[in-house]
Amino acid sequence: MIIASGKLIDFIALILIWAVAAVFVWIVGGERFAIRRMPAIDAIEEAVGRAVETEKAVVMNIGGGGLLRGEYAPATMAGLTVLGYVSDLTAKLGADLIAPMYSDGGVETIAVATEIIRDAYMAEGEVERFKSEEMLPFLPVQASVMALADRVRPAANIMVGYYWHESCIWAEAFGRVGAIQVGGTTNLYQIPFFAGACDYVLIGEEVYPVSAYISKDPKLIATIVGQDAFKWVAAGLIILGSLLASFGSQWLTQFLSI
Amino acid sequence: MAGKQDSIWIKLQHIPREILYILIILSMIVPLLRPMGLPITISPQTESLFDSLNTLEPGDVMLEFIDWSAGSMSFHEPGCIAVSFQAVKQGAKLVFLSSATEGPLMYELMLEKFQPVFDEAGYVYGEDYVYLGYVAGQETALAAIASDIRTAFSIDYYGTPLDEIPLMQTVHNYADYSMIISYTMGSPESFVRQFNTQYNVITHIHCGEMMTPTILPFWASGQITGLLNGGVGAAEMEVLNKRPGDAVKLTDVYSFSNILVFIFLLIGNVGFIMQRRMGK
Amino acid sequence: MSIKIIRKTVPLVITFLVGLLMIGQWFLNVPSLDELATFLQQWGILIAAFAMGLGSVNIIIRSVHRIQKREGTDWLYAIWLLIVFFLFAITGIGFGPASSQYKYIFNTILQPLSATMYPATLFFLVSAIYRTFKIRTVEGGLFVIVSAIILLANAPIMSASLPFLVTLKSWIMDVELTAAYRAILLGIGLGAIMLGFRIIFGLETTHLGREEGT
Repeated sequence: MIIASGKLIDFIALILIWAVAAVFVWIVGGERFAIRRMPAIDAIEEAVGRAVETEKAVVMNIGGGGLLRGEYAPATMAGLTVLGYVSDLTAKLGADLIAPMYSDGGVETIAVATEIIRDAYMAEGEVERFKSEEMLPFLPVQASVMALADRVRPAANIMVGYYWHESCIWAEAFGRVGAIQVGGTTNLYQIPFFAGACDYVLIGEEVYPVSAYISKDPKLIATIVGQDAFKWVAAGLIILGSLLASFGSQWLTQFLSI
Repeated sequence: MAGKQDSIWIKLQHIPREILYILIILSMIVPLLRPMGLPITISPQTESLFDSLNTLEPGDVMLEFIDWSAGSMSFHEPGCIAVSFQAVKQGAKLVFLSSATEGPLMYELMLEKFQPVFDEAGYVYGEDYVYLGYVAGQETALAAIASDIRTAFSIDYYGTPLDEIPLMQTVHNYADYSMIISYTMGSPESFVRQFNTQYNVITHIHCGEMMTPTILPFWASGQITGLLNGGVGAAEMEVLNKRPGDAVKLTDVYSFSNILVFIFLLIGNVGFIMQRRMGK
Repeated sequence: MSIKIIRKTVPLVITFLVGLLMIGQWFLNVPSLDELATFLQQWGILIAAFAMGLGSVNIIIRSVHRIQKREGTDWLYAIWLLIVFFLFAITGIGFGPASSQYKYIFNTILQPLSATMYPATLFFLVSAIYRTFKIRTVEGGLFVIVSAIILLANAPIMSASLPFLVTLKSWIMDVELTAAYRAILLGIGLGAIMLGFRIIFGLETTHLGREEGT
């Protein structure tokens, strides 16, 4: 058979998800839908405003996941989207922005991040305020970001991307200097640290629709609607599977393994 | 910071960080200097790994991913030694490799401690065990290793072509791996995806304690067969091997430090609740 | 126009083709797709290795700029970074990463420092737990109670002395936690599929830079 063994239902599910997304994007359109309020993203504008009032910097960290590693790249992409948004705000409102690039992942994304920030400042006509080495310091180890927190004492610390155990250390380090903190990651192990230590948190998949939420682009919103539609399908399958398993039937498990 | 005129309840919530840190350090140093040999219970996840290792037969090949760094060496190294010991006892062949940059040096340090076990079992490098070195690319590299190991490695760590190594002449892809184990603080799910989901290879994980709760669903669903929970898991494995080592020595530290953190949690909350009750 | 093609259109076309190829290779039994995917995986490994090299060059350039500017005290750390960088690079290239010389500098410099930094998490965790884990709300209270149970159950002496803690911890981990994390995993999985859809079909272009005039 042309479809690999054990992957037929997975393949059909993927095609269906994409088909539904395509229908929503190109036929139904996303104009009639809205994404629910995301306090964490709304808080970013508040945080940048606070930075302007207190004449302190905004620190925006996209984590060390990089763009070359499959599992980490989506979270880094979301981080880059937030970086673009934060750059727009700091360029418009006049706050100082520092976007430290961390470890291996920072090495991979520094060029992309530089361009994103430069484009944002150019769009606002503030290109003379864009200083690449001051705004994008390369900080190879956790301690250097902690030292940054202590030295700069920013008004806001926004961390959206892929993090490991440094999430807790940095959240605590920036929390101690009184920064408003927004944290978001898809690394499950680190979500509890952000939930405990940050003022606002994006849990797991909430990191992905950031671009749709910020841009309000109907096409992007339509993909979120398609995604949510399949959450209902997944919930239905879970309930059905639990009921069937409770009565001793493995039919659904076997069907999904075809 | 609490002032002198603040009530005891407010002071309880503002104990200086320095005192907390000193107490934590003491809770780690004292049991290291005076080990107490406190009891250890074996978790079902560790038992599952042990039982799986006992199904290995002479000649079976197990892949061991040395993906820990210096920071997690204190528990990953004893865990690797304990698991490898059991595999050697069963007569399995071991292929060590790394998808993390510090892997090669961690392997060398581990080998210094494990070489006597290889020598006692009569294991010869190239015939019974081999180290392939580090491969960049994270999950891409894992996919390559699973589908055809020679697309990721053409030589071993010491520069010998794979086809000249007797053990590797019969090891090509997932069909030749009886099981794999990853000692990682990075992304255990990538091993599940590339080995178990794709090819149904038995997959074990040894990860840090903070990662265990998120890996548990994979163990519960059977995608991961054995799961070692950080240092405690390594100690449990040493107990099952009947060879208490570095990990068992650390369990006293885990006991005392965990209890101390619980006490801090309690003190902070008692102060908070009583302060609210007093209406201050 | 040509700049737009190079910066936007070409990467989008490459993303589209490679994305569909890799997905096709995963699901379909087509030998030529397997070969092509394996070829791309090898290139992926090479690119990752190349990126590390590129990153190293980037670090050197930035450190040199920092030393030239001599602002604040950062330039002193930049000097130290370059010293350690070249020490490891020259030793590794000259003697080999398996050599006793390389192992010596690794064991005396990197290993102890790395081993020190990682457990620093513990102190920040303790500080965070003490400072933030308070019973302010019902949810916060549940958070604190569950944390307390897991903390105690993870202490080997407590789990051996009070077996009910182990039962409670197992129930929390196997039922509550697994259910919650499975839900989050499902959401992340669906979100990643949709993000993949957006990237493959060119709806998500943040990483390619801004459109002119926006």
